[in-house]
Amino acid sequence: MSLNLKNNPLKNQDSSRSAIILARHLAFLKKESERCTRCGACLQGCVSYKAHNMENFSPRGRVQLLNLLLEKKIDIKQNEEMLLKCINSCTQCAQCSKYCAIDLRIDEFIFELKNYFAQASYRKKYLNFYHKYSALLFPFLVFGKKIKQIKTEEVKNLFLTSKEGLKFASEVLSLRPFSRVSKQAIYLNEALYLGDKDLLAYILKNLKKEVKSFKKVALFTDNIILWRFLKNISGFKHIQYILPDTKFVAKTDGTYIINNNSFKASEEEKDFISCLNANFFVEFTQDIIHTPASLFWQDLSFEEEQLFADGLKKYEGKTLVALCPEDKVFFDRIKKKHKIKLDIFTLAQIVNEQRTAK
Amino acid sequence: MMINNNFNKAKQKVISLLGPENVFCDSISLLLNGFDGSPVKSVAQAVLNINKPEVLWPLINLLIKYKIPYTPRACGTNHDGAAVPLKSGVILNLKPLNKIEKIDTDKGVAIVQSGVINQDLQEVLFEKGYFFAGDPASGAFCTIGANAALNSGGAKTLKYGPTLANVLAADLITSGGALMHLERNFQGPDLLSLLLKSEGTLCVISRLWLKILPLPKQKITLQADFKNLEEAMKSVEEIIASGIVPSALEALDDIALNTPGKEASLLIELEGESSLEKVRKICVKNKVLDFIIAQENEAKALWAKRKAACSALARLNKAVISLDPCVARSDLAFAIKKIKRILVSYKIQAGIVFHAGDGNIHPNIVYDPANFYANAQINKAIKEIYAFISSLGASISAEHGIGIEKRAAMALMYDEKTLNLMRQIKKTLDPFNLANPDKILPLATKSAKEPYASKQKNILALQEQIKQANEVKIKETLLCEAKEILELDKKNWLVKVQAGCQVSELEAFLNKHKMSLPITSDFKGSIGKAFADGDFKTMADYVTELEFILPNGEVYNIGGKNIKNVAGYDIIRFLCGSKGAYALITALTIRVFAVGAKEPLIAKKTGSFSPASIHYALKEVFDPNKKFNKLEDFNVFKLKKQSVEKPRF
Repeated sequence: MSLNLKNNPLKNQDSSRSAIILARHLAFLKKESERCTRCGACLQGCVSYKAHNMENFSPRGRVQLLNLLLEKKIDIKQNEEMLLKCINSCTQCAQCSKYCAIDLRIDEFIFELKNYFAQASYRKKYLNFYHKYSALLFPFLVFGKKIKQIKTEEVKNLFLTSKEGLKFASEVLSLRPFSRVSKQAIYLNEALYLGDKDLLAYILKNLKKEVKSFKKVALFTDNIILWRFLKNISGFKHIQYILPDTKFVAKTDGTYIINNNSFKASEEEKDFISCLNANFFVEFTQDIIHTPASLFWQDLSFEEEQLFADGLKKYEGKTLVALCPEDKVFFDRIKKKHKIKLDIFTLAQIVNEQRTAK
Repeated sequence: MMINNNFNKAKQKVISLLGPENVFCDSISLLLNGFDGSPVKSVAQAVLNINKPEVLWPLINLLIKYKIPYTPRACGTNHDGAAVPLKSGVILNLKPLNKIEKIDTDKGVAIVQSGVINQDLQEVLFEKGYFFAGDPASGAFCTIGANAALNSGGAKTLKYGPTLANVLAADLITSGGALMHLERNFQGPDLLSLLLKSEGTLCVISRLWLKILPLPKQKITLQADFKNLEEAMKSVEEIIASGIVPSALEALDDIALNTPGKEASLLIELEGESSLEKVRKICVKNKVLDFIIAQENEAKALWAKRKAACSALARLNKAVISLDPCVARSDLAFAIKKIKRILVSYKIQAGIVFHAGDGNIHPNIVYDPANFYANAQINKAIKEIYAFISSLGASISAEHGIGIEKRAAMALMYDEKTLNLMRQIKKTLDPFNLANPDKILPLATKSAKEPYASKQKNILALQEQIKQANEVKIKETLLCEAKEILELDKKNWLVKVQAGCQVSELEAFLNKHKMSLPITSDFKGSIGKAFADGDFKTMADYVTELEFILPNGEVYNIGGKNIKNVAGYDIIRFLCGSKGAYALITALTIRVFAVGAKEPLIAKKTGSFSPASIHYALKEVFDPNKKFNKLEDFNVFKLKKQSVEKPRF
């Protein structure tokens, strides 16, 4: 059994992605995954490897897995359980790509695998989850209602928030300069969703250590899932929830929404983004793990697309910037299908426009 | 390949021992655990997760009972294929043993399980103001157990020695299935080093006692770029000759650094400001192009660059092979030029990184695995490099180990009788070839090297005497005539002496040249006695070459002028403290230091010795006819104070 999208044994759906793009894409993936020298530098960043202590759950292992799949060396149906476990144990934190000595975008490979093997039921769960909770998870993407100021001068603040949540807390709530923002939040979020017990235990252990290292600590989160989970666990009962009660509506009149697919991209393109004349940016980086753009990467069934499109309709603005041309293809298709009024550009197009204007 | 079906018979027992969640037989697990940092890949029959050190002993005994080959593996970041299962069997995944059990700063000991990541330990120690001197470039993602099994070096070897010099004791399960606690300062032969540094072919490590040191007060990182390699090497020589021992002395070439026009760039780490001016003067004298004293952040970036140099070269092509020959420091510039010439003649692209302080070269060859013609060329070039390195009398491996990759090249480095001695050790301790099978020693290749023979007349006479006698009492007086100082190598700071030479005489000779031995000059007796008697158990860390006679009358020579050597079993360390029960030591090459640069070792005897079955087994290898001193006689040397800790067998 090979990695052939049309005969994917795990889902019986028609592919909406064009065959040419796919073939080109697979060739690209193979070429890239073969570049891995297996030096193991990525292991140092991977939280799921540290939790499971096994090569199956390491970035290097997953790249090899992709390679083996492309070389048709693994029987997908026979190994379905382990395959999904290997792939889905990744939290997509992109630390592996950060440490890779030859700049492989390992997180993107894994993301490809994740999308490809996500079972219909799993995908539905996945999508529903984001449809329901994306606003709740990261409400500070849009700065909502003001909250009562919390004075915490004596104690240290540990934030389990998204980047924007942190910005909000510092600018709007004017909390003291932050002693610590925990990265564990991202992992915890994912572990809860994946139901990965090993990962959860490992992260909780780390988080407890982190909390213990301060004598007095105030815990904040803007993540309702984390809050619901942590407030029932001893040691975290005092966690405070800073959530503005708003719906996920992004006004984008005359603004750009930048979709950055990976950690690396956001680092490299930061300079460029800062040159854009926009009054408001939403920078999706890997701090937020899953971007709306990432959803476009999936081959959606009609119902799913409908679901997503419903969510997308809330983007009522003029402009949407998709970073890579392939993103644009999918955006365009969905736009056409659901008759959405939206101008979509790639970054390159904007650069050209600006150049000609000068 | 013969497939060993024994695992299926033992599967149920293994599962009941480890629990079903720790036994993986699916093809994904097998494929994803059958590789390491080398190009070799293979597939085992099962992957076993070891969660507790306690299960190792019953497990290995079970595997031995059913004759199932096993390969220990943790992170699999080694470059030599040592973690690839060759005879099918099972893979022992030791990564879950990642607990730092105790850190005792008063005694300077850290007790860790073998799967602890080097950097994790360093971070914990850093908070307490300490560090562990084993520091390989891949420290952030390799385990301590593997560092010990390969005796990895790294940047700090020049000052603090390789990993083995910093291991005090270990809990291990031998290939015979015995659970042992061995300490470096136990009397008798240094079994610990022999078993540890065997790449898993003689034992599986479960726990290690490591020496930890207080952090230096100040660290200064310098970068010095040179136009010519010779000028850089001259600076290195002069720095060391001036009595400064930098904690690291690294170098990168123009391809590795991507800086055309600068043939070598030195990276020097000093502990304390006192020697900074001296180093600067030496570099300026040798026409340094840039001399940068790095700020804290810059230093971090520089080290990150150096540590990632090997894998980063893969940008130039698809894959990298990293070699690690080690030559005498004085040969370094010549060897690098020659290696470069070989690589150019085969049209191979390679970046060279080297530990300038200890003569260890890393030619990192970049290549495309799919290009068969180029691969054949690379194989030829590597063979030529190894042949050249062997012709210098140096080591083909300084820190990566032998594994599968350099197995055949062992035949270039050692003569047939030495290889046979090592084969005998493996065969005796692991008769069914189950522990990491078929690694280190060449299987079929016969050594083309001429058998070593001593040129000294007195040694020849001794050989004859031993051949004819039925029993020889090995003692100091036997070597009373063999007391010449054979060579003083001022460039490499080495002295080669015959074992009969008195320590006080040698020290007086060295003092004339403003040099000093690493052991105290108060010791009364010959240098051979100091080595073999167990007064200085860590003296072997400073011995680079050893000549000895076995009871069959043959003379052997292991090592050379290179400071680092991890090729084959560590017989030099094993014979340290063996009191003539295994071999008669006739000559040694010892590292010397500038007067006052190093605190000399003090003679002390700690612990007692009671021979175990493994000692007798090794006696069978070295001395089957029981010609030399008996192991039971060791009791004569027994001290009044008994050691508290007893080995558990």
